[in-house]
Amino acid sequence: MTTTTRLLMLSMSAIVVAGCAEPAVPVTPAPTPPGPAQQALDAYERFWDVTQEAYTAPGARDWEPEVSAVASGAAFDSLMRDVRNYAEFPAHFEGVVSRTPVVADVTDTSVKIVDCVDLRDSRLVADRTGEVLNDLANRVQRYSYRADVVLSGDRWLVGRTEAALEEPC
Amino acid sequence: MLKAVGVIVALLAVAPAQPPTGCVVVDTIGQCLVSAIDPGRPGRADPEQDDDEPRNPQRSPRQEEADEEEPPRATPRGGARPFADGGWVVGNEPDIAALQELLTDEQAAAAPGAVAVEVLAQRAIEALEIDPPELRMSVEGTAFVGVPLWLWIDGGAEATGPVSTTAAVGAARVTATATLSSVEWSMGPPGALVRCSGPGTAWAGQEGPSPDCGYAYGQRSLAERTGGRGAWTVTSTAVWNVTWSGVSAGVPVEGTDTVALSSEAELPVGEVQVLIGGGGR
Repeated sequence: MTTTTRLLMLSMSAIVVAGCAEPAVPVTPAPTPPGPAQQALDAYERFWDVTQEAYTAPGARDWEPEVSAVASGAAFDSLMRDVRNYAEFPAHFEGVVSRTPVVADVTDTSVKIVDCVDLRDSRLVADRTGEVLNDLANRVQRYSYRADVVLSGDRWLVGRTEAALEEPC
Repeated sequence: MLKAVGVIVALLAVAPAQPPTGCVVVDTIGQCLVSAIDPGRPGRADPEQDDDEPRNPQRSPRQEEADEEEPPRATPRGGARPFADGGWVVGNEPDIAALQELLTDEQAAAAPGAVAVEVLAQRAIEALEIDPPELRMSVEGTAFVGVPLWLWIDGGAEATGPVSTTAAVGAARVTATATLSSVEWSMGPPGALVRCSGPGTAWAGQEGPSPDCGYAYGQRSLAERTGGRGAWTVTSTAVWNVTWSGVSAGVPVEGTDTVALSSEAELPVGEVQVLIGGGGR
């Protein structure tokens, strides 16, 4: 084996070793963190998830930890008042709420959401008697629903809600 | 044919629903509820409620004003009541020409085939052999406060369906099939509604409440509560889901609808009086 051949083999070995030590890493762009609008929408959806879970089984547990994770201020107070009221009655929610939320206004720390809530396929039912507790003669089937979602520390929470029954949608 | 005066027919989304007003109790998500669920109602203490605050922060000033101006409206007796879709219209025999007039010019111009299909579907629905419910209760004569009442409708398979019929005009053909989806009972007192997922279980002397459809009155049917009649009006509404499908102009068509039929009965409700004797000599 000539010196030239040995040098060539050593060079190739070095290349192979170097290739094992530093494998090629595909370059992927860093994921863009969702903006305030998307984070607020996600928080708003979590608020509705918790609301429906708590309404469905209001007496099953103390819902305050779950509610406080998605709502604050007036929205928290209002939702907890409902849940405790239904647990005490006792009554529970059945059915599905259809919604189509859209973001109406965005700042770095607050987002306004306007939704169209459809309650046609839902009921509040008395546990003991099966009575339907909805005022079917007077209820509005589809109406605008506004929510203020605010940044609280590092979390987005629903701070205020308003069911605008006088605004059918 | 659909029978009975007081038939409620769900039309094909051509009659816009009017937003009702007069909600007395509204919760966080906007459910309009009967006063029995109001935490501020006498006998229902609300530990979270501050007397200095409004009873429900969700309610608009307009609603508050409405309360002061007029008493809450009672649930209408019999006839049409919004159930699941707000599109119900009261009618004895739906008029096809009137149906067509309900369509806007834009709808008619945009989809003339659809108009024919909707009218054809309505004809098929009208032709369905569905009777109003034969309402039954586990009491003859007078019911009593606090005593469980069984509620059901008679009629066997015909009362629950499925029932089908076909309507055809020229080459267009639509078959409608109806199946009972629920029975809703309005027991008389305001807000006394019971929704049962089926016809209910017939009472044959069993003790205790019905396993699937029952009610217990909390109020006597005093004359001052019942407009002088001395009896509550019980309305049983059978709600049928109707699916229709067929062919029009060579194109498959399909849709869904709701049909509701009602029957009424008067039921006096008294109170059991227990006399405790002194052990006479």
